[in-house]
Amino acid sequence: MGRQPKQDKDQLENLVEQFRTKRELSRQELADLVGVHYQTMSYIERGEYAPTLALALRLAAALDCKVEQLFKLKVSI
Amino acid sequence: MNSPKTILENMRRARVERILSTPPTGLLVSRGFRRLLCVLAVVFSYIFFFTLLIPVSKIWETITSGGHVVTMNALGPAQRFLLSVATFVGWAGTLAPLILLASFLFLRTSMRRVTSLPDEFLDEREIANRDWAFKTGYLVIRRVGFAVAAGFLVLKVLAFNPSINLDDDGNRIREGLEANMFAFDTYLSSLTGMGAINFYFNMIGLLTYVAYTFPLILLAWRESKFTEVNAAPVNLVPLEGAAKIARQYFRRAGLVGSVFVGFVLFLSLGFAFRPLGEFLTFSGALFLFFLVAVPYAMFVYIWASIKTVEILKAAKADNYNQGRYASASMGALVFYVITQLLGISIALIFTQLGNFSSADNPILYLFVAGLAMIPAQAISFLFIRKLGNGQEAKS
Repeated sequence: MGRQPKQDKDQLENLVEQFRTKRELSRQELADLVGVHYQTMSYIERGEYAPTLALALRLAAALDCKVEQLFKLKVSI
Repeated sequence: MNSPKTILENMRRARVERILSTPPTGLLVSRGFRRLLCVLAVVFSYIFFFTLLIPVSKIWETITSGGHVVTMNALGPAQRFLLSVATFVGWAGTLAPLILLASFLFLRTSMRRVTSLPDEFLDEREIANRDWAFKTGYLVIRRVGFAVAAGFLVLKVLAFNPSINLDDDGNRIREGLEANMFAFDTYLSSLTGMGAINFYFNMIGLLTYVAYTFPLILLAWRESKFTEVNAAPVNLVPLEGAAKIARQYFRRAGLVGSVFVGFVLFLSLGFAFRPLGEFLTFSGALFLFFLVAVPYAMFVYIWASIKTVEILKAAKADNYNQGRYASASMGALVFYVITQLLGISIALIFTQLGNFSSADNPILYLFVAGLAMIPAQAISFLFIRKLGNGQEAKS
């Protein structure tokens, strides 16, 4: 996946912040759990960056949920 | 004995360790400061570029009526305007490189983690952003370079006129487009009036600066989008990092000190060997020295000032301003204040230089105060090292 063109990240909506808050984790703590910089968490939560599949899976594992619960396509195919 | 490969690997490891152990904090990662540095780098690049496009030598010729020195009263309004332009160009041409170099050094320090660490120490978004910034920087510079080269090629083609018209005396007559192109060519030649090497050095130096800094600007601007933090260690220097910062300060200050000591030794050689002295004085070698050394010294001073404030804040948060380390905390604060007072007095006097008579010339004060700042800040960092060592021992 890597860095997506603008329209790719705009197609995704994510619930990372909600799941993180439910688990009572700070951005820094979640960032440490999945091995990214704390700023990257801000970018993901605000929909400014669409993570790779590997990172999405790590986030799902850290938040104890499924990837499709965390990330959804805004428009279904 | 270590093989060259091992030596290089050790150097790389030491560099990585250095970057990881002293991450930029506080002001250096703040959105406003990063964006201010970007704006300064862009604005002063343009200012410097436009000063290079003003034919100062022609202006001086006009003001001085062909080489004759005239008094201010004898100058007409147009000449006075030209004089102010020439003065502005002189100041901007001197100040702009200093500000450009200082903003580059701060940008580099602020973005060093992302630009200099190997991929395994960065996350995927940082790698993607870094690659985007360097690729975009390359593409923009490539396209601008191509456009400039193509533009000059078009001018060259337009200026080429196979029909040569001669007047009665056999002199070539330039008319129409060719005349305009010839005027443009004459203007370009006049830009090198203060010395061709000087002009080309400035121009090539500016291009190199843009090539170095443009990707950094793109990266810093994008990375400063979300800088809010909710973890204390990122916003504030943890006190155990203070010893490492102190070591980094002494390394940087040592570099500044050795450059200046080397300069004094070099200058002494100039007194001993007259041709070397003349070379130093008239070749611009002194100016080049200041062009590099002074912004770096400014950078070290400002960086150290920011770090001192952060460390003193951390010391206060950890109650290090009381008890066993109170004297170290107080010592760091006192010498920090002394350094800042000296710095402020230098800046204030520097802005008022024109108002002093030659008898009250404050250059000596500026020189001594500037020298005194180095030990004052170094003593402050000796105390900081003590604070940091204390925290390391505690943890």
